[in-house]
Amino acid sequence: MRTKNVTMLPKGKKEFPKLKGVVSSEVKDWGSDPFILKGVENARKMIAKYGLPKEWVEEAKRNNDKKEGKSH
Amino acid sequence: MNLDHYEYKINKTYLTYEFYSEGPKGRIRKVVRFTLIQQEGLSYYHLSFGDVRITNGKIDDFTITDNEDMEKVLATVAATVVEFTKKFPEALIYAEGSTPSRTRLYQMKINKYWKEISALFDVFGLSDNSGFTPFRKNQHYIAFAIKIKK
Repeated sequence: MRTKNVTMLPKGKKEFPKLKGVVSSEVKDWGSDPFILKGVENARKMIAKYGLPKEWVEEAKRNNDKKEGKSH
Repeated sequence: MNLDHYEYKINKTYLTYEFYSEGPKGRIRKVVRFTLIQQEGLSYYHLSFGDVRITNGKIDDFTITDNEDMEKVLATVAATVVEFTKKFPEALIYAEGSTPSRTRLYQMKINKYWKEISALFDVFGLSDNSGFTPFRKNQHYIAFAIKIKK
């Protein structure tokens, strides 16, 4: 029996776009750049004021509980 | 969402991405950085995006580059978000523009590609009176949070 050489994604599976990224030692970290630090500080203030999305917070807590072996 | 985007390079931590915009103003180095923030017992990432200034080698998001490739630049930022979330699938990413007009621009692009974005990501919009709620087209938001769908 002949089979076609095709790759099929399972139903409902997301198809990721083709990406053009290459890991390189030329890319520095930039984590201590003043612009980055200012953005992080602004984000902290916004989250302190408004909180994070409640749907995500609930999911994160459930995941943390699973990791810690808690059951409900 | 296979939009035309620039090739980019990735720091070995997968937190920093760099690429060059190419247009009438020349080659402009761009940086996308995801910074882990731990706050109120939870962890999320802040997305920063800006140009590297030739004069001082620091990042700046307030200049208007006008290199006639905005669509391709934003598609590249979107590609880095996809790459990042493949590496960190549990990550929640917080993003806002450096100015209200930049935030509006990001929202316009989310609206434009909503079908493609919503197939891959859960997106939340932040509004002053409601906090974060699931993103809806044509609402006004002051920031966004994105997470890959499970």
